[in-house]
Amino acid sequence: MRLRDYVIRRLILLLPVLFGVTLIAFTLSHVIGDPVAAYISERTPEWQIKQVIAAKGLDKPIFVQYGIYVSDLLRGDWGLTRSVNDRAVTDVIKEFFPSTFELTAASLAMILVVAIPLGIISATHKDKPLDHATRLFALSGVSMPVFWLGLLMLFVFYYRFEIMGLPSLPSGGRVTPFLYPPLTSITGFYLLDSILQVRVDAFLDVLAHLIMPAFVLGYNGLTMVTRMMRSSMLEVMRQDYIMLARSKGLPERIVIYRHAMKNAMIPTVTVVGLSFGSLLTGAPITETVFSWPGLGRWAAGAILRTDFSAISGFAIVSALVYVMVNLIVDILYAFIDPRIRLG
Amino acid sequence: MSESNQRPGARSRRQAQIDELKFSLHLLRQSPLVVLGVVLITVTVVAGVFAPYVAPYGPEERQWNRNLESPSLEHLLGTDETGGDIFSRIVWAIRLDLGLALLIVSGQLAVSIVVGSVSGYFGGKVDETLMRVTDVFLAFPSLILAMAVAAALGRNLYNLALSLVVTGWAGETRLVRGVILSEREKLYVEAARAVGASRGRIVFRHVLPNAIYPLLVSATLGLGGTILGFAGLSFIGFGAGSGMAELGYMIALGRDYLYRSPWVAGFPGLAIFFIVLGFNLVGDGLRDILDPRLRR
Repeated sequence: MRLRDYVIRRLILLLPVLFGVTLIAFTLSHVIGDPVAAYISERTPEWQIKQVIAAKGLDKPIFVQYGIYVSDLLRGDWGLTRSVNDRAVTDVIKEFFPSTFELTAASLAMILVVAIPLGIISATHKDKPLDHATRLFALSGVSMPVFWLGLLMLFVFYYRFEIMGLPSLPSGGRVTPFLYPPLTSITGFYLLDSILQVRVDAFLDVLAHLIMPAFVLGYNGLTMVTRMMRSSMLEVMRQDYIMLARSKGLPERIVIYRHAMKNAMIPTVTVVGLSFGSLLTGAPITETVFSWPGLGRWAAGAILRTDFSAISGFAIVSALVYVMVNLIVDILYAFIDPRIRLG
Repeated sequence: MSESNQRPGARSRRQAQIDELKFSLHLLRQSPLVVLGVVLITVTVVAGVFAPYVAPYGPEERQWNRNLESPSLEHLLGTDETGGDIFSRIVWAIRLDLGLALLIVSGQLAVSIVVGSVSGYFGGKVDETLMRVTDVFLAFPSLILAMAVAAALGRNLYNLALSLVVTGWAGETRLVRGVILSEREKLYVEAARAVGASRGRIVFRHVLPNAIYPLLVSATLGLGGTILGFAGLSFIGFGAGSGMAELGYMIALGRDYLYRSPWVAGFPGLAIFFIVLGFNLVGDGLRDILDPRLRR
């Protein structure tokens, strides 16, 4: 099957999934929640509420309402979010997305730098103490409650370091609130913004804010990648061409890092791609602990305030990211591994 | 005698299964990580089951005049802001959390076995429809869905557990379906069909047992994940009510005293870490042993 046909077929398969996601989001916001609440505040007078109900068709039968909901979504009217001063959901997503993306990219960078070498070490020392230690370290990441790890890090690096007079890390947020002169946002990615404006102080400040949440998120996501790298290394190391490379007298280092690693990376890429997707949809708990102004914290807050238009908006964005990342990973997979035929 | 029907030297099928199991257990014992995991699980399960004998104080027993005390002989892990003994509360909370996690994972397994078998065995339109539904549940952010369901049903522990069943069945359903799809075409299924076995009998007696090991791994890892997810949701404010001995909720309470009395949030988190690590170590070990590619 040609790549183009494959992509088209996959995109068509997405439609029922997205339909299902809007159906759940609609059920949450219109059947369980009160849809009028998205458009009014406590100060809205009675006549205006009636107007909103009539304008949004909320007095119509439920399937007509679903039609209106979907056509509103398609027109880009995703409702207003009570959690962020009644602003439009789409605007809020645009504002929070870069923030979550920056955090995701940072933790993914950490995962790649740490997990892949760990996986290799683990595989090349299979069943030796070093392998056990590595696996214990990796499994610990996924066994810890992220909020607890976050609190521990705050206690040590924010509080204890401050007391002991060591350079401490900030407790939350993306940038010091009264940084002077303030950092103007161009792209929404603060690290990039500070580079574009040649602001060393701002860059370091943003970086300091990023370290703890990125570490917490990354440590949690590292396990899957390490595990995948280990098992695919073990599999590759048994292949004939590795034996050939060894019998040619190549140094073990070259055999591992040149010959084996390249092929072992193929399945690992899939896992990395998938974890990128799951990180990108925001980490409600990590973002809450570190007061990170991103999608996840917004969504968690929205649920506590039963802000249903925010929940529906967040769910749709997450689902879109999830299905797109899956598609991209599958295509990428076929590109790196010529043995794979798209079917 | 049944032995006489066999060719000389051939082992009976049952004997082969037993040898296989013995070999697997032998491999498991070889791994120090699995042994560590088993120890962690045993300790926590024993503590949970015998909570009334292990915990020196009741789950909601308080000494108001002795709040936020640091660990001492009388209060091994210190006391919380209302004077509750943290060690006792952790033991009681393990009982609660572990029990609920078992309930949640069993619920997920039940749903996934039924849906996965139906989907895999019938195939065609039924399979297509059910798989699109699982796609939706995999694509929808599960934590958010769980929170929304829990919020809609009313915030308490049992609704939270129910919401985790509702949101967490899709992955294992895929697993069951996959096993059934690959087994369905095999000769023994055809043989069973030829003998006249009913569909239900074929699926439940012949095909499904092949899914036991993958499901066992998935359920073991799932128990750890469920305990974490449950604690996380209850940390944000779903589930456990005021004063209740529940691990995530205890950490949430300790958060306010993090800098003054770090043990209040610290020890319950450590307890979660040990339990979940136990399940993950065992699950990971099982997965390695059952994976023929890694076995050699």
